[in-house]
Amino acid sequence: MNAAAALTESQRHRRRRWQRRREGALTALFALAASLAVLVTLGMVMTLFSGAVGFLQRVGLVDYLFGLVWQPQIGMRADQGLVEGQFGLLPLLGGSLLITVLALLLAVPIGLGAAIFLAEYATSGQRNRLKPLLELLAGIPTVVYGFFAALVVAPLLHYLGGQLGIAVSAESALACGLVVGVMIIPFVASMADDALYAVPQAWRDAAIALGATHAEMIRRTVLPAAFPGLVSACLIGFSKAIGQTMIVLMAGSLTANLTFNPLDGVSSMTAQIITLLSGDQEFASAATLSAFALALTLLILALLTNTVGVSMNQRWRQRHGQN
Amino acid sequence: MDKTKGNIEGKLVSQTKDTAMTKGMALSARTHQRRLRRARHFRALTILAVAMALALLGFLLTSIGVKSWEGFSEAQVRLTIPLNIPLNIPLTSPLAVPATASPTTPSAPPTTTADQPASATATPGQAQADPFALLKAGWQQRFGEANSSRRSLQTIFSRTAEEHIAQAQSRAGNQPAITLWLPANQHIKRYLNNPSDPGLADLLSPHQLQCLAELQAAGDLRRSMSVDFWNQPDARSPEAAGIAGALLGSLMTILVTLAAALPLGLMAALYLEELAPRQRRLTRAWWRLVEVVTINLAATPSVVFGLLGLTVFLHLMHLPRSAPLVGGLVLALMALPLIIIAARNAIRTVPVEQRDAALALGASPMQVTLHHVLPAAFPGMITGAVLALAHVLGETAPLMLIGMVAFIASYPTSWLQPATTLPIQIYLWATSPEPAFASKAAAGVVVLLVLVLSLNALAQTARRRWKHRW
Repeated sequence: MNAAAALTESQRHRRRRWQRRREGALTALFALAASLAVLVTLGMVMTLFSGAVGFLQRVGLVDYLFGLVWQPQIGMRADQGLVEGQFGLLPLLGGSLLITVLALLLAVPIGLGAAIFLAEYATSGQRNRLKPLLELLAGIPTVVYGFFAALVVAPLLHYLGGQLGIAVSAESALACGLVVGVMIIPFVASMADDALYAVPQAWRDAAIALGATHAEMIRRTVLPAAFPGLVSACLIGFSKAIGQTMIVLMAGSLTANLTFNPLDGVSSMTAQIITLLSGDQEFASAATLSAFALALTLLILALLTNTVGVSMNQRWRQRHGQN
Repeated sequence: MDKTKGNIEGKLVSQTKDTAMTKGMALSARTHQRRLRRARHFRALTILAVAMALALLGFLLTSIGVKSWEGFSEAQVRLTIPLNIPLNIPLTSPLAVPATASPTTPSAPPTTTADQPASATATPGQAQADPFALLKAGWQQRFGEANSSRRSLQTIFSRTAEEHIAQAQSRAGNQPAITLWLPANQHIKRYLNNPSDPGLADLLSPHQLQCLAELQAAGDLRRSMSVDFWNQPDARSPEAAGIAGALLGSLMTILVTLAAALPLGLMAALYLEELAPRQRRLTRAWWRLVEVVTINLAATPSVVFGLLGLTVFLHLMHLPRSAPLVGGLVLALMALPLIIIAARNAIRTVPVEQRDAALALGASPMQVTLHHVLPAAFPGMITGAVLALAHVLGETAPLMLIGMVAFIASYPTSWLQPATTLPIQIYLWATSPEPAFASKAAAGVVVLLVLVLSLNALAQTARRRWKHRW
């Protein structure tokens, strides 16, 4: 007869136990893999904190947060003594914010406009063709944008400025900001498109039925309804822009200037982290440790804006009864 | 259609202008027209936004494409290389630099004499004659003895010309001579662009310029696609630098990432969606924390991962700098949250009925997960993983922090040897003071874009094709 029936009771028990044990081990392995993310985050926070604390013990929190000069150079030779540089955050924070604001000035109007076109005006054929193109733009690596900024846009702006008699630095914040803007257009556009798409069709129909033109329907009904989603798209764009590295590293200036003139050269926190750490260096010097403080500051800024953006988006979606 | 309605109303109003009742109508018709105009303008603005986005993309791609042509191409010189002539020409010592050769030439190294003495004793018809001696003999047959020292030949030919000759030599058999297109130095490319370039006088002697003019008149000088770009590692001189080393480094790095991140990511996603216990408040809070942490890791700036890798892998675990193993692990940390999020989304599309049916037939939760959910969600998971890999393939900043920015002129042969990756190679070339490297960087950008975008496109088409409607 068949094999299963031929098994005795105890054999079946043993098989069951074996199976349970095997599955228990496998489940534990899976749980371990799932908890790895917490471990990585813990490691990251501990790394950054220990570096930052070591740095702040040497420099002081007030000097770091409110210092106006960033000059991390130390004496090159031993007989010069360890001339510690100055570590004021403000020039770098200002540079990062200046570039990010310029980027948003370009990306938000274009991204939102493109999203409105995609969600409200485009035929399904146009949508199916434009959406993959947008995703393609989002897939371009940052080093490509860095190349574009350093070897195409920055020289172009420098040349144009020369023609018009305006002094444009060859490493201007404007060039970096514009290219960062191009980089985040697809993110802003696709998130804003999702937000607009989630507005219930009935609301649109109601507005049209009350006699609104198409544009009035969009401006008075769809945009206010999608507002939290649109703001979160901009916030996530901000978070992407401030954490981006290669563009400023390749097209920005290496020295940190405290300026609000987009035609001057500025550096950013991310670019400084790379310049401080990409050589072979003494691990415990203030210059090296300052990179950890910068990274911690950057992480807090980026995650704060991202979390606010994501939670705004989620709460708004829950209110509208969609996933 | 709206527009025509407005016009009809306008006509109607103008016919009966004088009655008091129609005054309001005229007003409303005018407002109506204004509203319609505004609607048209608004639509035009959104179209303008799309057009600008596309124009920016077009500008980006064209400017890179135009620059990359220079990087993919090289100048070539056609020369007949004698294979079995008696090498009775007295060879000049490599150190005796003739006055005509410029000492400022960047591609002229102080000493590269490893294979020089062998050629002095080369006998007629010897099969394995030194390639440089053959190159020299070929040049002397054509142009005489002037300017045939190693240094002056190196201002004409690329360093890789000798490799080409050696290869041709082993293919040639018993032929008395072979005619080859040999890769030329970058100065020759400048000469091809503009033969009367004033900068060339510093780099090439008048006699060399004369020889070039002769070659060009005979049609033995051309611009063509560079083979060396595809099968050489990085080099100090632009004409000899290729992308193969960086490609191999990228491949090794991404394989490490794949091996580390894919199994972990899929296991984590399956556990979080299917197996995680959620009955008690404490466990629920823990898995909620895991979820928040994963989302935040996906939004963490890439430099921070580099710092983590620098501290943990290099300072705590003492792994070697610049190694593909370390780079791959850092990229795996970055890819892990992306893979987990994509895989969880794929798992959520599997309907509950599938699981219920399996459970009703007596399957254990693990069996449901592995035998039913995993196969159903697999295409979506793999798509997400490919997108994540395409994303980290283009990452530069975290790898720079673990020391992968060094100049490496050889192929990586093991997972622990220094290597460079494609994005870093682009960065190194783009920031090089030598302008000829900029076009190499553009060519590298094209290669990277083709790789990353084709991976992206592959994942997207796969997603569309395999999309399962339940």
